[in-house]
Amino acid sequence: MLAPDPIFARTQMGISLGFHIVFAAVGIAMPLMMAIAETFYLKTKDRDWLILAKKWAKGTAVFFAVGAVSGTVLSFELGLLFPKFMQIAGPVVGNAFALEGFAFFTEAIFLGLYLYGWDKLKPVVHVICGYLVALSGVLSAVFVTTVNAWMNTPAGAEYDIRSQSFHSIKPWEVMTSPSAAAEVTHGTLAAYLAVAVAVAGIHAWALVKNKTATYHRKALLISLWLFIPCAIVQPFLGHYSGQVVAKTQPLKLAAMEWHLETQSHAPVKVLGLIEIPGLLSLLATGKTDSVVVGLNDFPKSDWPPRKVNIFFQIMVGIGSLLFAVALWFLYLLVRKKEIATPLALTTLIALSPTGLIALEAGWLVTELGRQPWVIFQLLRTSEAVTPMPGLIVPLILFTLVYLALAYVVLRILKTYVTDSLEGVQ
Amino acid sequence: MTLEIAVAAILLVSLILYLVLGGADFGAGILQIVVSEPKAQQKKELMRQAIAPIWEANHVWLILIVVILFTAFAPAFAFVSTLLHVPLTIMLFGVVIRGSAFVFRQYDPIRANTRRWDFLFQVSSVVTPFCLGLTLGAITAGKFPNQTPTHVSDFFLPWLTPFCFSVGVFTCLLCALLAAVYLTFESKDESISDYFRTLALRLLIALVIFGAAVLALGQMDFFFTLQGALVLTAATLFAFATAYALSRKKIFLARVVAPLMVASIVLGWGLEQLPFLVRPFFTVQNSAASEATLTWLLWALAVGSLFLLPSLYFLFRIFKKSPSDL
Repeated sequence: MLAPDPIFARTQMGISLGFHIVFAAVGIAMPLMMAIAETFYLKTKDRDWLILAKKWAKGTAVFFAVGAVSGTVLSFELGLLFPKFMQIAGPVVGNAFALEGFAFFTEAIFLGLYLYGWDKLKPVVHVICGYLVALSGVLSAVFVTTVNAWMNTPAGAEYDIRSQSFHSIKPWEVMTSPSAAAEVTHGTLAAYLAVAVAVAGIHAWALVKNKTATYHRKALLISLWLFIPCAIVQPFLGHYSGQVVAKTQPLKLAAMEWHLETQSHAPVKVLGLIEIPGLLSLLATGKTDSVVVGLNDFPKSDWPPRKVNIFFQIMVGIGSLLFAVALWFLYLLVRKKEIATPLALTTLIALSPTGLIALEAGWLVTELGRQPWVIFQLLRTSEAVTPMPGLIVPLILFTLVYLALAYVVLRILKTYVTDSLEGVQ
Repeated sequence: MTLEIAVAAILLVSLILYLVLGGADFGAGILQIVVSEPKAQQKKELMRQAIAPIWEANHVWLILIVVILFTAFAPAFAFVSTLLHVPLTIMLFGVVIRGSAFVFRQYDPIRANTRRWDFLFQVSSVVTPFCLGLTLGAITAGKFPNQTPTHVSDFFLPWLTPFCFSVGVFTCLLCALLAAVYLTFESKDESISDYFRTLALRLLIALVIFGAAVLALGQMDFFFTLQGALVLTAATLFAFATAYALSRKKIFLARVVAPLMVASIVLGWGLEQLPFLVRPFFTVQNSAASEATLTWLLWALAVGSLFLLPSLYFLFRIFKKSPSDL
């Protein structure tokens, strides 16, 4: 009777998740960076590190709060928008969410202690709180990503199509589903990488405006040393993810590459123009003669949208670029060359948003690539959506609120950065 | 005790902890609306300082409640999420705007924006607990026509009732009262402390009157049974204890008995609901997940609590040991 188009629910969920991911990434990476800065202060007594830690803490506080509230929205939206999915999958993935909830809880506690305990805690205790925020944050991300991995490669439970329910649930196997290792590592590293790049770019810009700003230089060093290993390792993790997808979700791989015909020696099409023969087979399985399944083997109603291919290329393109830039900066740092050259700084400024763009693009690949399924090949998104009519109303309202929040956060961030151009308190 | 009753009990305890800890955060926002001269700015600043280190942690209880619900009692969760979509969505807007307004108020360098953030924080501090109350009222009254909604009105009738609205107001009063009691302790300035003490007393009276209204509107026969009468008596005793503590300036005692009063109220409601989670369709038994899932959940909760509770204790010890100099 009431059967609304899933597009509104999907769009609202997508916007909420896309918004939240940025703030969650900051909440994962920034605490680590600010704790490192404070550690350097405790070791060297150089006040620059303390100023940096405090400034990064302020930024973290703002992003964390918005991330926390948007995360609350998500935990409700799972049910508000896809109640059928939660009814079916809740008992399966609930434990992972519970662990994520606890990790997030401790993160909030230790962040409160960190932000407000500068004068109340012994320095050693204070900095440990910082590291605990970082640890809780990454654990939280790990647990929640295992849920997404399960949606792509449901394991550890038997599905009964007629009653649309799972039984014989084995929570450990649910959390260690076939794509869990790939998604968790690739996704978590993406968060660190995206934030490191963004922060490096911001401090590079500050350095361009004020060459003598010493704590911006120190900020740049920390961001670069986080950026470089992440950017170098990430393509390999991406490759591993691709191999997992080839094995477990061949339809998704076909969509990522927009590979139509099943064939061996399958080529990679770069930007739809250059064709590299055999490369897709090689990447997918390690052998050029392996067969890569094409989209035409599946009914069109099961095809993910074409956008998946575009987002995939954006992600890989940026990832490759960051890999190359990371190698360059590694060379500069190891050879003790000046990193604050106009070329280096301009590069970092230009690259600043790309990590987050790649993060969003990659997430879109894995989400859109799973469509039309919400639980891959078991439950369709359209079957799981709420019968509540008028979903366009909350969609528009939430979008407006998120836009307003994004604007205010960016405005506050900008004021902080421009205020700090002196390089002094 | 069966597994599902154990999980339901944990759910109730989480709700109590949410109200007793996080409810005061809402209350602080609500009180900001009514707080009067003299020293109004100082009082508002006191409220902000009181909740700043703890508010984020306090509100995770709500997420835990949601997670426990959809893990252990998924059909009930799905039903509530579907039929009560509207009050829950409004509540979410409240949550988002509240958290953001609070942090922007603290960290926005443009001082001219202060009034805007204060306004948004105060309004959302009323809206959020009110909608939470609406939702709890709706699942108590259970005026759901069908399990599967067929008309647009199905999404509105269950919560657009005098009873649900009274529960909403009651929840707001509860939060405001807790905040006033806690704030009595927060300041070394005696005039400010006295202000909140008297405010708390007035709120307590309002709460008792409204509580009676809720009971009358709800026509809850449970409170005529032995169990119900006992819980009601306990709540009333704690209310008297709170009034006594407040009027005699026994601030430490007030800080203990006020939350106990809230706990007994929520316990009473929980016992009244049993075995239902959502009237009239979902009981603890008929919506429970499998034994395996419940067992795993209990283990996850146990392990999580092992890390959580000491950390939470540490947080409160550091920040709530002694009043501030404000």
